[in-house]
Amino acid sequence: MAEVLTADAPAAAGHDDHGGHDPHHTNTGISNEKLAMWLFLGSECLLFGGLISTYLLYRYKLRSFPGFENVQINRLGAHIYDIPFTSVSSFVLLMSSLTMVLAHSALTRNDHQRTRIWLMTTALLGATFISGQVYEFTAFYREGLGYTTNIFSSAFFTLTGFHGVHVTVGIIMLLSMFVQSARGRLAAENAERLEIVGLYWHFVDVVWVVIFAVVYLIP
Amino acid sequence: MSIPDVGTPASAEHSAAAGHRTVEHHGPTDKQYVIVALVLGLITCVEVSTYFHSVINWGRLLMPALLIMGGIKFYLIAAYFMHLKYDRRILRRVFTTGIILAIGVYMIMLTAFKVFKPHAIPH
Amino acid sequence: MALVEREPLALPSGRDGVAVEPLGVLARPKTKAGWRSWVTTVDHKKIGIMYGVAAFVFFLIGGIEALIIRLQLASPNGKVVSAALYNQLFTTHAVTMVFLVIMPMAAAFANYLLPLQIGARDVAFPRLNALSLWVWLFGGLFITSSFFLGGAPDGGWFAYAPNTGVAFSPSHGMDFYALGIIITGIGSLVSSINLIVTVLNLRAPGMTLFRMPVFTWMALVTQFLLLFALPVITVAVFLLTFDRLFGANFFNVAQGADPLLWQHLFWIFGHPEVYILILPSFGIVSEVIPVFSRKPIYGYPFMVFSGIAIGFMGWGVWAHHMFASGIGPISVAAFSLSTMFIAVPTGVKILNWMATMWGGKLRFTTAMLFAMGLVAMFTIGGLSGVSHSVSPADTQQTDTYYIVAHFHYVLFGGALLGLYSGMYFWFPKAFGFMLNERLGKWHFWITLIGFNLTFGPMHILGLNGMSRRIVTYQPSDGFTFWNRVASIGAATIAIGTLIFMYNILHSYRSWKAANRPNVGADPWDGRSLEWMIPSPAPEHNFDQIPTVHAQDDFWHRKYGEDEKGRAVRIKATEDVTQKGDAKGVHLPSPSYFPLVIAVGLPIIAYGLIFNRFICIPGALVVLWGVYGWVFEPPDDPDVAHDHHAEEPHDQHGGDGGLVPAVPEEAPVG
Repeated sequence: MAEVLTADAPAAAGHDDHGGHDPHHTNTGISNEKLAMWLFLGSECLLFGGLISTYLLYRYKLRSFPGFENVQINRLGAHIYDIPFTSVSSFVLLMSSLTMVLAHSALTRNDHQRTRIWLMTTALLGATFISGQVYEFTAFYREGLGYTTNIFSSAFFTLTGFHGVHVTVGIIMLLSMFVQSARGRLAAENAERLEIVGLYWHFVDVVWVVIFAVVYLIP
Repeated sequence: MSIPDVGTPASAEHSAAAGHRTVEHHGPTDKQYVIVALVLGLITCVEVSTYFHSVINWGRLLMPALLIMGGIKFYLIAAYFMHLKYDRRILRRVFTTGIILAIGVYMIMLTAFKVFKPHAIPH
Repeated sequence: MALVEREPLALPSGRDGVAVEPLGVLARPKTKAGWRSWVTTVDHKKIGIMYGVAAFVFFLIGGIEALIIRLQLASPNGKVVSAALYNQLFTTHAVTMVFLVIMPMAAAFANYLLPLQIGARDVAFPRLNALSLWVWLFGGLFITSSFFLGGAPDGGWFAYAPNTGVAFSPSHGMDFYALGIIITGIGSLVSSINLIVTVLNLRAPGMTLFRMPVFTWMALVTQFLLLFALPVITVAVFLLTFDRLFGANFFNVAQGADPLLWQHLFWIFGHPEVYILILPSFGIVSEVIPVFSRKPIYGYPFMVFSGIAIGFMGWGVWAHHMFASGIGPISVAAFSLSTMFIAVPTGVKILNWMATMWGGKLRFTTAMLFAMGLVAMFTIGGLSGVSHSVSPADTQQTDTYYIVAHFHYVLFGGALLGLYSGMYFWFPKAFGFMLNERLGKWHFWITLIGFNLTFGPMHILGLNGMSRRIVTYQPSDGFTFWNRVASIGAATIAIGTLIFMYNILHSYRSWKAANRPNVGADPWDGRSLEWMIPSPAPEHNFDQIPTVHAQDDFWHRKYGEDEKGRAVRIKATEDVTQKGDAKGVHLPSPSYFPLVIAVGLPIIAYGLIFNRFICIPGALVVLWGVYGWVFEPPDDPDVAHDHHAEEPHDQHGGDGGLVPAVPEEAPVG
């Protein structure tokens, strides 16, 4: 999507003097791509908000359903959530944000080898998280909590599944960045491209921060 | 614009001089990033510890504490890792508009469903 | 700065001279004319025109559906269509008119006009713009194709679950609805991001936010509403899709699901959507009325801020669609109150339009007539809307024809009349010839009369207790007379629409017969920047990007003020308009790949409905499109960049602030 209209007029103000993030002058001083990504992330807030609210509603509703009156979902312990396991995978995703910013920071220093190392680390951490999610899903399924079992399970799998798809898309973006860097097409002056991918990646992480607290920890 | 050839130190210098945007870095330093990550990890440990009753008995404070800790983590990632603290104001506005709208409409919706009514929580 | 290279990179980074062959089959399109130039275009003007034409075709489809509905209801015990088909007709009529007519028609104006009004060469992401168009168009065709593939959606455009679950709507219709909304939603979301970035980032020098034309402002607010509202409906239709296709339990009441969840999610989207439909038309009339009153818009900041206020308040009123659903007295009271408040900014707008006309030198062109029609008709619709905010009254009116009357007064009498006004107003700018004014006035009056004949009686029918969406009624109900009047009105609207189509044909023929006299850059004595460039607008928009010094900048280039504050001409129009003859302006290159991606999405959707294996080729097509897109640089390296030195600098206009059209940038390679 890295596409800029090159024919926009330079304003009278002259050269951009704001840390040089944009290749062409814009009215806001932010490059088109970065502004677009932030707008997209603003929009995503409403998407995940809707899914989280659906989950909260149906977790609440499940208790008014015969047989579940006194169930505290996450206190079902091994039956439903494996908190220690999820804590580890949450921690993995959290740390992938650190490696992501380190990759970007290395690129701004023209340190391409470290950029690639950190990029690959980030992608691997993301992949670890996804494997953890796959393991969690299969474990639930084996314990009898399938997608269609009840309203709670549908809401849970949809919410975490949407998040998982977002992480997977992020991994693909990271790997393309890695390939670009390996082929020498990711110079320090394109650091913003990596920053934009990073924004997406951090957003996915931030969503997991909310999901981890609201879905897993709050009783 | 000349082709920035970063293959040799000499041309790297040249590209740094020509491309004024090459190396400037306004965000936090790597050290700050690591510190933020450590804080994030620490908060996560406290969050997880609430699951094990034996560590601290949080009582009624559990839910607000978890929400506040989640909020702090959210803020730290958005402000430092996503550079919102260092970036243009309009980006902050766009993102906070999304968050506030999301929290606003969905909280009203859940309130209309009476999810937050105290008697709704079974003991 | 110490730059330590750890390892030399394999290739020079960034802009390398290596020619990239974008996946062979679809080479970079070169043609400038013919159908190929249209399907591969990334020019915002061509995209805008295609949006408009496609939306008008859907308008005819939706209109035919409406005519069948009115034929069925023209007399008691109507037998024109079966009850099942009737359900499909009113559902697709609404879905078509909302998602495939008014939204894209507004998108057509926004696409065509936003870059022109802010003095830009194109939108921020031209290829994404093409993608939005094609994704929307194929999504629309996907929904419409349901008529031939086992039945159209039949659960109403609001698709209340669980009524739209498999149990109560067993045909594939609602699957088409849900997947179609997701696909068209992708198009709208991409387009909204694109247009917001355009307005925020690509304004001409001096074009501050508060010098932007009101249409640009209203379109901007609309795009923000889309940006934040679309994900909500996306969540809702995803839940419905998962219920229908994969057996999830979101709306399975037997499992304890809450049917109000759909209603909340739908109307959290649905009420901002109402403003998404009307605000562009508000913007259009805010351009038309000042031009034909020869006065600046009255209270420009009020106009802008009331638009923003509507945008924000639109998020706090959604539950007034659910007063009769048992959401509880506190919710009802709160939403009742917020709904009454939202009438205030709308009232501000109506007042400002009238104050703009007050004391102005009115010219009753067709565009002006339609704009005034909007002001009058929307006021009626707005007032009946206020009557819904009173919840006891609303309980009485819910699901009656009174509601049908109300939203047709705001959507037809508001949004559509505004869009017609815009069509007459900007037609010469887009196509280079004027629409016939005499036929246009016939079009206006017949449409206005037909419209009031159709929807006026529905107020009475509703208050008499005629329910919405019923397939027929009995003679003893006493609904016959007004229903017949409404059906005659619908036929009158159809005649008006035919006159409009004939007008286009007739005007084109007489323009051709008269050897195509040029309509000139500024046929209406306009005020905003799009009138500064020739008609039809040249591909590169502006020869030089103008520097803006005031609101209504173009007007102030033509007119000054005498000591009494009256407008006096200071420059001839020919002296301030551009010639459109700039050469070598660098424009983004056309591409096939937006179209490729857009073709893939409905294939996946068909696969989800009929046979999951069909998803595979669909996904492969999308993947092909994405990779072709990524590997095809946005700018064709083969297109010469060598005219930059000859960039024309501003010679005329006496405006030293004009800047060259292209950044000073040495040719690549």
